[in-house]
Amino acid sequence: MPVVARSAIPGYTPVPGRYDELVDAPGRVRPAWQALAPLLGQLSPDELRNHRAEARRLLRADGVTYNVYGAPDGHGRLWPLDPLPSVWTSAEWAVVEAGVAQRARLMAALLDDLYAEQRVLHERLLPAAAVLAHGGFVRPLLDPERRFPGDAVPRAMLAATDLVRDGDGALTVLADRLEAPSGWGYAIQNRAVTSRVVPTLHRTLPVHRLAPFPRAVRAGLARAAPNARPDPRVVVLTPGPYNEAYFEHAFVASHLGYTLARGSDLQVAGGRVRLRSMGGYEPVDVIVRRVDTAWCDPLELRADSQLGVPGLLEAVRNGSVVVANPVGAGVLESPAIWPYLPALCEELLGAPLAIRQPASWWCGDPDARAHVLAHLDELVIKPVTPWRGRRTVVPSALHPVERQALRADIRRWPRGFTGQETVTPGTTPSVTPAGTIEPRGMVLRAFAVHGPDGEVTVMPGGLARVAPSASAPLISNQHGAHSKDVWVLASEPEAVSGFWYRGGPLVVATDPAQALPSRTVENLYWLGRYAERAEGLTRLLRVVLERRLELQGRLTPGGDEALRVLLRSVTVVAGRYPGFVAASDPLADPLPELASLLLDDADDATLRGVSVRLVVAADAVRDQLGRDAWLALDGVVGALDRLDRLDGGGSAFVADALGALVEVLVHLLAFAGLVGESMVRDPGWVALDLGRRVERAQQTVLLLRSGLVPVLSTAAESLTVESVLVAAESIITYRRRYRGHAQIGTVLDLLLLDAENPRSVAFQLDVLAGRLDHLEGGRPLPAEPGRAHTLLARIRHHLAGLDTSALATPDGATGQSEGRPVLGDLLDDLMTELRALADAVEAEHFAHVEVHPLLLHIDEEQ
Amino acid sequence: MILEVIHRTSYRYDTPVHLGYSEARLLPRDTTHQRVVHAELRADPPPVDTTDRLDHLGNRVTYLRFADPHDRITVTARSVVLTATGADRPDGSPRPLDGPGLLPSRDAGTWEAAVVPALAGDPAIADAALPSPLVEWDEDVVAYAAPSFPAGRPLHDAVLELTRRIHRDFRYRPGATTIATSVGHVLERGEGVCQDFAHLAVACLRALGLPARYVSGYVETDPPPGQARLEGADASHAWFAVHAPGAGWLHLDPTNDQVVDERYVVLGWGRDYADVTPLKGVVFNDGGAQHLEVRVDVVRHAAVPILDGEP
Repeated sequence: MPVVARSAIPGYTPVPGRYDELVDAPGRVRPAWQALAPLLGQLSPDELRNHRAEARRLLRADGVTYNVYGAPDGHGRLWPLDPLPSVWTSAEWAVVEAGVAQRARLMAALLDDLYAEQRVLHERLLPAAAVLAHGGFVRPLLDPERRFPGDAVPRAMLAATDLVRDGDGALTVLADRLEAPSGWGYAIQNRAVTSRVVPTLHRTLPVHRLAPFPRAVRAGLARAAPNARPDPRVVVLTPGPYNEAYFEHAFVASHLGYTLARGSDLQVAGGRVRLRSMGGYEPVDVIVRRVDTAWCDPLELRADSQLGVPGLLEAVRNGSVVVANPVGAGVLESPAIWPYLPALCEELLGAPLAIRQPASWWCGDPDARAHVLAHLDELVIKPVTPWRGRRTVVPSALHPVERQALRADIRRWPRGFTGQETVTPGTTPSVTPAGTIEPRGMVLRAFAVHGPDGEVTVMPGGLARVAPSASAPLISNQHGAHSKDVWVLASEPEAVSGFWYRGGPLVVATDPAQALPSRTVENLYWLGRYAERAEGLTRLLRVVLERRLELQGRLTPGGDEALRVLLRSVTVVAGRYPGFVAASDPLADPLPELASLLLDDADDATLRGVSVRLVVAADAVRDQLGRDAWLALDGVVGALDRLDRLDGGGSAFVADALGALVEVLVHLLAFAGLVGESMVRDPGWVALDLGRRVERAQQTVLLLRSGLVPVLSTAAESLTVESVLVAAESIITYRRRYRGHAQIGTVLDLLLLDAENPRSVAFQLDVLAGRLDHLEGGRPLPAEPGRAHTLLARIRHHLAGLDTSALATPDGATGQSEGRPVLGDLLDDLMTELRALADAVEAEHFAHVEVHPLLLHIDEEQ
Repeated sequence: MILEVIHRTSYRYDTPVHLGYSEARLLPRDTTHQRVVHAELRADPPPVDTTDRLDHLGNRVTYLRFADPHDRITVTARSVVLTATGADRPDGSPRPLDGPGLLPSRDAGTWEAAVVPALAGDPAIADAALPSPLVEWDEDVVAYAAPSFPAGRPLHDAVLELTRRIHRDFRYRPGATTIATSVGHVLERGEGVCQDFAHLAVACLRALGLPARYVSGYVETDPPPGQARLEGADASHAWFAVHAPGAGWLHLDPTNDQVVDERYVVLGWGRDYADVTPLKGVVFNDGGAQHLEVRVDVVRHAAVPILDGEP
């Protein structure tokens, strides 16, 4: 073995007594790192810092986030990734693979028995109370005589196992995740980013590809469908965007081509789970469950759950739907069953556990309890059911008073605790914020899935997490850990299997309308509205700030007059009253209000407020948007985030704000382009475009109403008219068509009536009519046209008969804010009708009857 | 004895319900001293889907789904049950109606002999000794139970005395508690209804390691002249059962200080009220309150009544 001096990686010193992945105790580089160590040694702190920054940039561009509970800024945190991978040789990984596969088989066999015959309880291989005292055991699914038709199908299951290497480097299992294991989606994302950040390292080594794993997941789920239904409908059931791992739920859904659904998107009828989609109700065969068991069915489990589906357990029992992981699988995570797993493995699989686990003692057994109380300071104490405000504790780190309380708790509720031998996780080289490489404790999460024929596939890689500091006791994302990609080195060229591509007869495409939950379509509509509102507001704010920069303090004729009108226009278009409309002179100190219109986010009448809502709406339909959408959307909020608040420096702020607005606009245009060029024309896209049209028509009318109705001096009017045209993105067309003569009548022609101008109101109405037809296309014809159609026809008829030159004629003297009252009235009417149209569209196509589950609180005696 | 039970539950909603799911445990089960002659459940409006099953304890469960808009719903359960005196017997043999002794003799053993071992293998027994969502206990509960359970006392005497003490120490007062009221709170207030007393007894027994069940059912509404009318007769009733090794489950009614006999009809049993809630559900509407009306009639018949009419 070639000896590489410790100095190959300057300053890297393993922690004494802990196994290090990079070097052994004498300082020799271990086999897995032979090829990488020299390259690593050449990286300067600057380069390493750049790698970290690059990883962050890529993750941000892909919108990879997770949520931390209970933290004020906990929503949408950037997924933390260390650019250095954890590296395993083929031989090392073979041990992981065999052990993790065995554990997955053991857990499946145990689950199968615990919900049926309970042989392991009756035969005392496992104390009954160790299972029954766990909060995750679901009695309504207990089927001792296997009478449920649902049991005829194999249980689909994904298993995650957390592993560390102890002081000798021996693999040790720390925990099993079976309730709703998360992480494999992040693992795939980590690979995508790591291979881009350190491409040289990645190309240097024969790293196993991860792609076969999602395919195995897909195959396993497809096979699990009830009655071997071909092409089963699979949905990913998510609690929604506030869940810790929502990014992953959406990622998994879009990666595997499943529908992302929330509890309210699903309904049980006729004993089957159905998806409420634009195409009606679609039967669901398989549910990938990411909602915890307790919240899955308010009828039989937690009645206060808004995340579940009433009747789900009924559908599970009758076998019409398969849930993966099965409802109630969480009982397998119970630390109470740990001490018995070695014997259970012998009994159920006929072999000893392949990977050791720390010695443990369930305190429900009096002898074990005595041992735990006698050796408290050498152990870790795990609560059997974590959801009672109890966490894993390290007694030796407790205050004597707390330790005393813990002893009392164990004596009082012995069944609630398991003591476990402490394990010090081995370390792996990690990049610190300073750009140095230091050893950090690491936990590996490996994933296994049960395949179509009962075989188990282990992901050739996984999710590694490293402690945030050298001394951090716990390694978890909720506690600031960083993640890492896991590289498994292939010993021979990888056999290519499980192609995405397949021969044979053509697969029938799913009907897009059937795969889209109604809620998703509704969110896309709002996404379209917010995107357009942001764009309109950005353009208007830009032209106003430009005018101010250009006109302020100069004796331009009509300058102040025009600025006043434009500022009031901003208030009207943004809908943020009183603002400039109420101000006796908008020109007196307008910057605070402008800054607030840009940067506040309390409501959707400011640019930042709209942008934030835009991102939230996009997050809610994450599975429908490509990766690049985040590139665009992130830039919108990012530009505003970088813009400082107004701190006295007025003109500097205006210049900075203009810069930010341009950046915002570029990103909004990129998003619009992506929507136009990359989204398939399904009902979701139609809804998004519908939202955009509804919003643009309203914004244009508001702009005309506030900008063109006042009668001003000729100089001022020409400035306003030009600004209105710029804000409406029609100045070039106007100049070309009308040869530079600004007239109110022709502006109205171009912005209200011109069916060829994609910015005009008439154009929006034409498109709206087409989109509504599209949405209604697949449905039976109603007896009479819907309200939206009726309103639309009326508005179009209304516009068709307009005489714009008459409308443009002033009715009063110069300087009157309502100088063109006929135009004012017309535009007010139009706005009222457009709002009614929007209401009708929403009510007919997007408004779910908001349902409020209500618990029938039965208290018959009382 | 032939008892007919009619249990009618009505809900009225402020806003119409367009979708509702319910689970009913309103039909009695057979036991060693109870034979169900007739049992039917009707709902108005009628459910769109309905299925019947037995849960893992053998209780009858009806799943109902309502999809027609309604602002009122009535669920009526009607059953006719033949009852005999005596606790469940493990060998399944019926006890004579006028037989001697409702409980196993004192020789059946001390209460300590009935305590569930920590590593017990029978899940049904082990489960009955564990805390459950509505039955948790603290030192106060242990302290309340203790005087009835001195070392070496026969289980028979101990549980009879516990039943009597609860009857004596607590005031029956409808409305004093809700189903969410904890055992500790009931102990503190000194009043409650039959569910509370059953939960309290179950908590006392489990706190000592004894396996205990919560039993849902009914008691005869109008006793023959000269006999006292029992509390809980105009509604669904509840009591507890304790497991005596070799003898089976002994049913006792702390609300009335009675040994459960042929005047009682068993609906089902579980760890606590939540396992055997007579009717629960989730409805979807636009909010507003709901109004509940319950009526229970338990009538004694000389012969099995003719049951072809509407209840």
